[in-house]
Amino acid sequence: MKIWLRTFRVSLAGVLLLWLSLGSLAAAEEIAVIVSSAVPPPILDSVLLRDIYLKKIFLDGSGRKFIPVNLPAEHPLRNAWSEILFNLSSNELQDYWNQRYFHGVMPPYVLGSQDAVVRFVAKTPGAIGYVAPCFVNASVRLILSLPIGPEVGLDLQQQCPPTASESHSQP
Amino acid sequence: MSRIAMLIRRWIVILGLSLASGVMAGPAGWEHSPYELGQGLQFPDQDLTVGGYLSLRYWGVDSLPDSLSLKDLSLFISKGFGPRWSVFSELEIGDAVSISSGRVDTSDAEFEVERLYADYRASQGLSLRVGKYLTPVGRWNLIHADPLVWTVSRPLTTAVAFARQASGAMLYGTLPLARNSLDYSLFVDDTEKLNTQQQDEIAYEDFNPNIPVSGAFDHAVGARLVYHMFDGHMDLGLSLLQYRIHDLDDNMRLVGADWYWHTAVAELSSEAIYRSSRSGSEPDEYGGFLQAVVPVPHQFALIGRYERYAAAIETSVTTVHSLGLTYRPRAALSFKLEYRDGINNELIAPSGWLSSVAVLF
Repeated sequence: MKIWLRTFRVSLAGVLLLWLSLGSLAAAEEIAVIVSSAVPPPILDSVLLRDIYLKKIFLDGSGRKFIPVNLPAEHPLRNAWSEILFNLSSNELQDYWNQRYFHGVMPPYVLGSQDAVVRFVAKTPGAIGYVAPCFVNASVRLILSLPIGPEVGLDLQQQCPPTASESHSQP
Repeated sequence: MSRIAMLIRRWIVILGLSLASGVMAGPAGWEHSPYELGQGLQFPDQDLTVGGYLSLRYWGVDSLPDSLSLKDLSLFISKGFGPRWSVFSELEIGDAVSISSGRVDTSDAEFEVERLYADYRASQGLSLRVGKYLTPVGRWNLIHADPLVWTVSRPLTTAVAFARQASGAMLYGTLPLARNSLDYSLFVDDTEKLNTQQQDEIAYEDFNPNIPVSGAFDHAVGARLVYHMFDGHMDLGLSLLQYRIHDLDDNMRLVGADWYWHTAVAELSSEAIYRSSRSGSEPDEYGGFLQAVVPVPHQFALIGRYERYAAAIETSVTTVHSLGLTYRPRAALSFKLEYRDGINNELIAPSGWLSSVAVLF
């Protein structure tokens, strides 16, 4: 009986471990959309988020200005973000922004790194950014997770610094 | 001093004051992005962008002398004032220099305030625009700048039946609709009172400047809807307009429809308009075009366009077909070559070779 009980416990632990590791894998394959934790979060879905990043929607429901920020054009996370959110090639996006520029609307400003995005978003009400989940900390609030499909071919773990899990994921 | 000149002076004073004081600065801490062709010079802390475009054009068409001209030299200034207000202006020197029959000519050069408006964002889906802006009819008129379109010539459908610019007020915005989005705009124009200089505009300016038909509104009211679908890969547009053109006695009605579809392998677009006069004193004017763009290797694109247009000044329908080759080494820079031909097109879209170099800076 004891052997059966031990076997059951070990199996249960194994299943739990597997479930947890699958869960963490799934979480790692989502881009984290963040806002400052100091202000009430806006209610967003991917359609509204797209219109904010395309600079078609400028204000949230309370009249605060949205300030979307981008990573540099060559950043792998930026490429994955554009593919998931807009489903447009970089040339198509460039054509879009040229047309918007003709009307005085500029693309989102660019910050140099995911660290810079977190720091800027944390201190700027209305700012919206996107980072790998390992960069999310207590200064920002996760409001949406965008899943990355296998077709995008991006390993989010590679977007985290080697010590990111120690230095960034602590609240 | 004219009203427009006064507006420019005020705009320059406001711009200078805000730059000097930094009072209107945006959120601090931006890392300035490096200059990129086609995105203007950005001053994020001031919420200010300065840029523009230029276009050098060669025309070798029947019945007009061959000419090489600096067709457009435009300067954009865009400035935000807090979360809700922004101002945009496009100042243009048109036909600054032209060389025709071996003579350098600057007599056609004209300075023009192409656009000058203030935007107020009232809510998430509603903005108000006041000033001089591009008339929201069709897709082409709203992106007509040489670096943004594929051909040197412009379809008749997009230009001659209505004024390209309006002066007045416009409500506009974007609304989510079934996982897609709908852009709308409603506008009123009173060019007759607000911008009398505009009434010098001629309808066929981009086709045959010798045709003396006015291209300015006295007054107008209109609406435009654009439904974006398939992740923005397809747009469907509808434009409605009621107006009086400066030198025509009757009120006009115009209905327009446009369609745009693009994929990685091709781009198709089409616009059509129908204009009628309220009392029937003017002949109806109508037309439409279909354009196909196929990218080919090394940043080249082949363009074909077919247009039919029944102009009020012509007794029979004009057919225009254009074949073009455009090289775009970068999205903001284009080199274009086009051959235009047609039937009954001698007056309003003469056959011949057209070429341009255009850059958005």
